[in-house]
Amino acid sequence: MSILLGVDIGGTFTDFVAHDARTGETEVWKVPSVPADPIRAILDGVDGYPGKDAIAHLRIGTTVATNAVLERQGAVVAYVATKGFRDVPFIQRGNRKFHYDMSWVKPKPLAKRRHCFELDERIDAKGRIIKALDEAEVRALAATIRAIPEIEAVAVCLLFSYLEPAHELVVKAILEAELPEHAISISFQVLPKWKEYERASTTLADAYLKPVVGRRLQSMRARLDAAGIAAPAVLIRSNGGEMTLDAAAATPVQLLVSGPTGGVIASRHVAELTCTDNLVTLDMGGTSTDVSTVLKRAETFTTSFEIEWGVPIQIPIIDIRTIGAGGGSIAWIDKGGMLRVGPMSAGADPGPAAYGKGGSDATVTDANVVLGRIDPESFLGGKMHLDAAAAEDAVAAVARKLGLSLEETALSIVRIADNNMVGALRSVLIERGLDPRDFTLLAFGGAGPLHAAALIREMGIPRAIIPNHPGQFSAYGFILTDARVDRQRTIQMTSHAFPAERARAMLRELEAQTLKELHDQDYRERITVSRALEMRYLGQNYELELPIGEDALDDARIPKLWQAFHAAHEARFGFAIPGEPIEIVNLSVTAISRTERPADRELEAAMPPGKPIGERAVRYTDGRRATPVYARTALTPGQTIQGPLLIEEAASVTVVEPGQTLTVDRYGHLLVGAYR
Amino acid sequence: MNDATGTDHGAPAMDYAGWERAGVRMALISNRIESIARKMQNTLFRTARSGVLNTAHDFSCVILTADCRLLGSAESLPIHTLIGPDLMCAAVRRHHPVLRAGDCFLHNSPYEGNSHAADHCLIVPVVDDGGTLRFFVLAKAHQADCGNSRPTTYMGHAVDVYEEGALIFSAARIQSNYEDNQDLVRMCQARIRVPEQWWGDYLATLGAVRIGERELLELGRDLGWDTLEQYTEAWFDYCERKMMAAIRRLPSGKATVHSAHDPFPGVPDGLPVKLEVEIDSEHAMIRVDLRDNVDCQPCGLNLSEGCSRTAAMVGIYNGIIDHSVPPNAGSFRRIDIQLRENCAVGIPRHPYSCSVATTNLADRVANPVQRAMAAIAPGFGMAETGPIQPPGMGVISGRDPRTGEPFVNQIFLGITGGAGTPETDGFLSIIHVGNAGLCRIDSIEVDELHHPIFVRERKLLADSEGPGRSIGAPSAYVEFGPIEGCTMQVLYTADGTVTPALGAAGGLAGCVAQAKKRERDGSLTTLPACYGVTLEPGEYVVSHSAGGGGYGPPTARAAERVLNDVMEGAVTPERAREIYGVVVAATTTGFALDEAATAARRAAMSGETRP
Repeated sequence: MSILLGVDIGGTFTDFVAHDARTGETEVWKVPSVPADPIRAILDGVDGYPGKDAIAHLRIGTTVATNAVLERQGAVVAYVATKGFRDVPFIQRGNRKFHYDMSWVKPKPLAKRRHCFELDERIDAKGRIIKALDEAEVRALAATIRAIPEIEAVAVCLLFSYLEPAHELVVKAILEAELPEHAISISFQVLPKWKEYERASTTLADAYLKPVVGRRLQSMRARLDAAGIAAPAVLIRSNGGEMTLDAAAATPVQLLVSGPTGGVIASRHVAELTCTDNLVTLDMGGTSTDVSTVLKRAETFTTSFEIEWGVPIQIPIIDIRTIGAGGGSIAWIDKGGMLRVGPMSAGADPGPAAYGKGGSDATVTDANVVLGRIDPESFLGGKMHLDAAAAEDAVAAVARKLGLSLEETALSIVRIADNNMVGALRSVLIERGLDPRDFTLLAFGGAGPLHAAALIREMGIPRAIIPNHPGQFSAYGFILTDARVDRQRTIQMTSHAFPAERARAMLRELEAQTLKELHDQDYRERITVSRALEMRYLGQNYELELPIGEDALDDARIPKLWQAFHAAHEARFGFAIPGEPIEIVNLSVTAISRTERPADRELEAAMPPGKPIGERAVRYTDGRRATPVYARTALTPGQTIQGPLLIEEAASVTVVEPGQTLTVDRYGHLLVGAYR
Repeated sequence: MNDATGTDHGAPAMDYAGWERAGVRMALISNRIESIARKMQNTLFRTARSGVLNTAHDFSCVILTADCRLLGSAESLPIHTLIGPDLMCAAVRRHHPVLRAGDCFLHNSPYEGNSHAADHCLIVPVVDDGGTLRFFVLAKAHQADCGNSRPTTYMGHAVDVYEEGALIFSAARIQSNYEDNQDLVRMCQARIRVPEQWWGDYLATLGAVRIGERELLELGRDLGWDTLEQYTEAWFDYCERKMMAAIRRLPSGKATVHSAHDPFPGVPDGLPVKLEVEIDSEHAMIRVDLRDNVDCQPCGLNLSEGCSRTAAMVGIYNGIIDHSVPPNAGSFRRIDIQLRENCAVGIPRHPYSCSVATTNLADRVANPVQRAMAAIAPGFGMAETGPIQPPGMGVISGRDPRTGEPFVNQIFLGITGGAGTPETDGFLSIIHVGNAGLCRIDSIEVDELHHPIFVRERKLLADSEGPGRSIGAPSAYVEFGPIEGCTMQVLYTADGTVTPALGAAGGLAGCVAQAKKRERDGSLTTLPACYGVTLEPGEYVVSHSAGGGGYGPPTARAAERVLNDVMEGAVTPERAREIYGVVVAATTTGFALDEAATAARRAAMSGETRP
């Protein structure tokens, strides 16, 4: 029992990465996903694996929560609000996705208005109870809810409960007693932070998911057991940590961004291995591309995630932006005569025209075939034969409309797709005050390595890294995850008359909660705790997060905190206002229990440097060039090759453009950069 | 504005080599320009101090060419941006023939391009290393206070700019060589009621324009200024072609439409508005003539030139139902707005006041354009959006008993107004037509924390939707007042208490706005439409927002959708029957559709309406 198995259930494929601690070997493979029955793919993938009986631990990235929300497959939820405010989930906070598209329809909240109820209670902005809760009213409400058979779950969000949770806690106790079959979520426990709509939306999502996620996880465990896989299974949560199935069923909102976090966790690991401080990650698949950052070798988080436009989920989640650009993105010409690529995608079925499954639209993959970057014979390691003629026909149809040659059109398609990705990279770097010159691009997913060379050139990023197993990189991340718990709480304090003792007490309480949450899941070893404050100038509405040390709130050190904030504001926004009162809005605590890390293998240095296995004519911006093709498996550590060249492996192709150099490091990472 | 040649009605020629024809470089550069505008927006949003900016997002950031044409605007309010930034940059050029790196101008004069005095604009000329002017960046931010004679930024009753009282700046150089002109800073601090908040907002706005300047300079160095200039022209041509394609989907036709602002101080009989709208499909032009309207009036409702032009254009961009057309100087070539000087909906004459120019009367220009387009081109246009501003988006002021400090801020607690479109129900919180729903609705918890107010109730009202095949947004009800120890003023300018948002294409009007005061004994007193109410603890102001109009006949609304409206408590069974011809029956778990009765009722109603 020495094998750690990471499984990433994606839309098209389910990826597997198995690491054997005994031998140090890592194996990767994939099987087609079964969208209607995701667990089927896990069983299929494990079934054919010879090490099946030696699996000690299973870590799974799941789309169960995400899909339940996007497909509106969750529970019918009753929403309980303070009297006068049951319309909070419907009024929301405004703003629109498209300013001049008046027919754009905003996603619906996760409860129906007919199932929204009020309780005559009120807490004020200072946390004082100004209208006490009437327990009889709560019991009457329970009876009302019980009488509506379709309701399976209840979400409770009372005004200012993050300041004074007493009412929500009583409501929860009564509802649990009166409605033992219903799932209950209260906002103080899901997200004890200010802003009632955001807190309500997050709490609604939690309640909405509880019944369905609970059932599916139960079924998953039972089917794993029935298939003879007795190893403990854990799930990857949105903060990139792992959590037990029971913990996941109790707080399913934590699962909303599960799978994509694996790529970021694995990226952080690559940052550590390669001594790279700052990475921008690009996970390009068939229909979409995920972009994230690793800063100072740590993943970045957001608390302003929206599962859909205007449906905020404000728990800490790894900050991943998704755009609709992938290998399957379709090229089209808009009414102004401009070539556009995506966001429509040919997906996996029919897929690009080159798949020969009936697709006739030109996609990015088709353009890459025309340009000679993808070899129709060796796609997916030769497991899938591509139809080059079909790709040419599809691109030629676009070329005729543009009045351009086939190659110019294919190049234009790829450059526009690159430009879309540049937009996403700019939004996570430049728009957040980060300088691309301080970053390395880590490109993975089936299509990422094809585009990395062009993206670093366009962005002014000095270097790209193509990691090992780029096609299964998220699943690879799962064998590297730790158990992680984040807790945040809104407090309202200012630097003038800072109540240090109250802040310290609140921080201690949060620490105790995070540790308890880890202990409850039986994580007791190698625990580290980190702390941060979210601060701003009094009256602002956006906070900067500053990590703080254990003793940062000691009386003597407090002035340093304010100095650090002024400096951070100056660095981020270009100005500081010395002497201005600073508001501390949120405290946050993270506890991590480190798990056993697989040892990283180095490549055999003794092998002779790899030689090209062939040559292809590949089209670049300045024309076609004879380009040597290498097999990735034959490359040796320290090997340096000048572009242009292609490196092929089972799940991907890496392009190194003319004027760029490839270097292979001792772990087998491909480093692509401009000539020195 | 009307710089189409009048002779060449074909698409501008595309004579770019190779894959340039596919627009590759254009896509690349437009991506960078958008990103710069977005970065300006982010900076302002994240650092501003007043709630009207950092919570409600009442600001805009734009990039213009050196010859003052609008190039790009990120998430910006339409009424702030379409026309106005160009006029203001032209004013800067006029008053300052020599522009240098490090200059920044404070401008808010509604007589020289700005929307209204409360919108402070910072304008930075982007001057390259060789001293050549390449672009302008402009950030416009609605102030919490702008020194008006009363603590509100909307002086609906002001007979002229003197009574209005705002500090008016005409291209005043507030920075030279990147250093503040302290004379102007002290002027603002002496006359604005919340000087620290103004200073914080000034720094945030300045941060935005300086970041825009820095990024544009970098872009120019990266690509070369000539390339960037070529791109700009190609981009304008492309946007013009998109606009032409959009207009050519509509049939040609003309419509004369009327609207009216409600009676207000200074205009006791209200303020009628007449518009001639012409869609010329063949030449791909849309024309709006606003000249046959009353002179400027002794009140704060008069439109600035920027708002007159923009309001008509907002109606056009909404009405063409193709949001992929970028609104900039390229697509503007296909629009012709005719105005006259000294007209309430034209070019204002000093010293008439334009204090409320972005909202009330402007909406009475934009909305009928949408309706006219629906009349000329079935399946296009929109109904009218609900008029504003009820007390639920009033300006609150007083002294905060928790700190002893004065406070002034506009709140966005209860506003709705979305108009029915040919395909979809009105967007709930569009706020008003010139805003496009970009301003955020306040969080009750945040408002109660930041200001000494207590929100008693906020909800959507049943039977308040604008009936139609696509319904207009319902009315929002909000009731709020001061906390213990506080006397609070709420100033508001509520249009739409008399004249509702009209429906289009057979749709009916939205519901009217209301303003009331709840006395300590619980009774309600009706308040005037344009008013400042003083509230003591225990007293509340009650606000009903105006709803949006419906599009298409209500009897054409799918019966299942009406049933759902009933189930969700938006429409009562009585109204479903009377207005929509849908008969529902109560069941143990809710309501069910009575299909036979519905068919009969709808047949009878169609008989009633048949000529």
